[in-house]
Amino acid sequence: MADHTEAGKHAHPNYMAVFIALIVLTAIEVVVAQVGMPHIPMVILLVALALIKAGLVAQYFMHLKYDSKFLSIIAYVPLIIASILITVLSAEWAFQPHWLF
Amino acid sequence: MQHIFLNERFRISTKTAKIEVSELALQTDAGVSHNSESFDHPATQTSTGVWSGKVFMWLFLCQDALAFFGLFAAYLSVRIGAGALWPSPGALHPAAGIEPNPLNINLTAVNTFILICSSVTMVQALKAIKDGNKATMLKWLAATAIGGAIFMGIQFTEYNKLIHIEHMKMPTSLFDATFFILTGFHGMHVLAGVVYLSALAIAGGVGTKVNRKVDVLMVAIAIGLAFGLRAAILAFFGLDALTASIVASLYGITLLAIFGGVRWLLKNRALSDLVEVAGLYWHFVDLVWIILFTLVYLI
Repeated sequence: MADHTEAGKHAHPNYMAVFIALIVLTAIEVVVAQVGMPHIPMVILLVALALIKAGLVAQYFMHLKYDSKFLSIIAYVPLIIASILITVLSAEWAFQPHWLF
Repeated sequence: MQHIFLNERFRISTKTAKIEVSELALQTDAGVSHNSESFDHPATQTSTGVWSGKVFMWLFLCQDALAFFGLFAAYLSVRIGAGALWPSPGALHPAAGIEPNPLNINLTAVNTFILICSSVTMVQALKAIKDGNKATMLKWLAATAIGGAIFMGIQFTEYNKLIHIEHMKMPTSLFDATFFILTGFHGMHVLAGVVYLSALAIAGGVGTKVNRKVDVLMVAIAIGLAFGLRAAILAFFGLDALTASIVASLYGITLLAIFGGVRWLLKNRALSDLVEVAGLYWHFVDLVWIILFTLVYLI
């Protein structure tokens, strides 16, 4: 709250810089996906790039960086917990190949 | 006549005085001066220090994100479980007997670009209304809605090709089912976003003179889109009529709720607050697409 009041209603983040960063990261992703890297490193790199992009959108476009910390807690805590669950489950599936077929 | 006039003036001046007193009380209560974001209306105080509408939009987005997480988890389980049998997009030589991946990365990259652009026009709209420039805000808002519409147009073309040329079918293949459910669920969010932004632009542009005609138009749009969605599900995906009807009616009710919400909030809140909350939704749609694009199309 204090942050928000200090930033004032006429102080806007540099949206154009964020926009350019998003476009550049997307271009890198598209290239990385098509150059034929080994699969596992490629997946890790692409997911990392996607998370950076998502973070940029949330922090700057959705103003989480400038808003009350309360909103950041609402937004991030459940998603972090859900991410841990998905990661752990994915690891489990990965070590039980072809259980579907 | 003179008497009524005086009476009217007196009433107005007492009302203003009351608002001033309540604002004064607020300032002493909170110990801080309220920032003047909602300049049209008297300030309301919440225990969180954030306008409740914004808190609830965040709560909604969070549960919506968890719904997407559920779908991602289902997709990943199928995907990882299938191992090398899954047609990976990057693989130039798929395993024997596996059809090559039919998805077009470059076309979708263009779509990602359009969605990111529409996010930027959305922040420009918020910037304009916070600087008190309503006409500019309406232009940026319209640009955002058009960006969303172009995104949907490209996705429609893509679906058309995948269904009629590549013969992808939801009921017979896990690859097709996960693809259509993930991108379709997101596409319905984009459609709802375009409707949301349009409703806000129409109602915000008309201002306090929002009338019956606008209401009737909005209800007609909601019902029309619900029927259109039902027809599209039946024509494209080969699902049964009951499923299509249930999905379509839930979707229609959601659209009506969006209209009602925008309509009601316009009476009670400053336009800038509404644009900010609509922006949160729109950026969320963009954010989900960024993750979805990577998981479904790239890896």
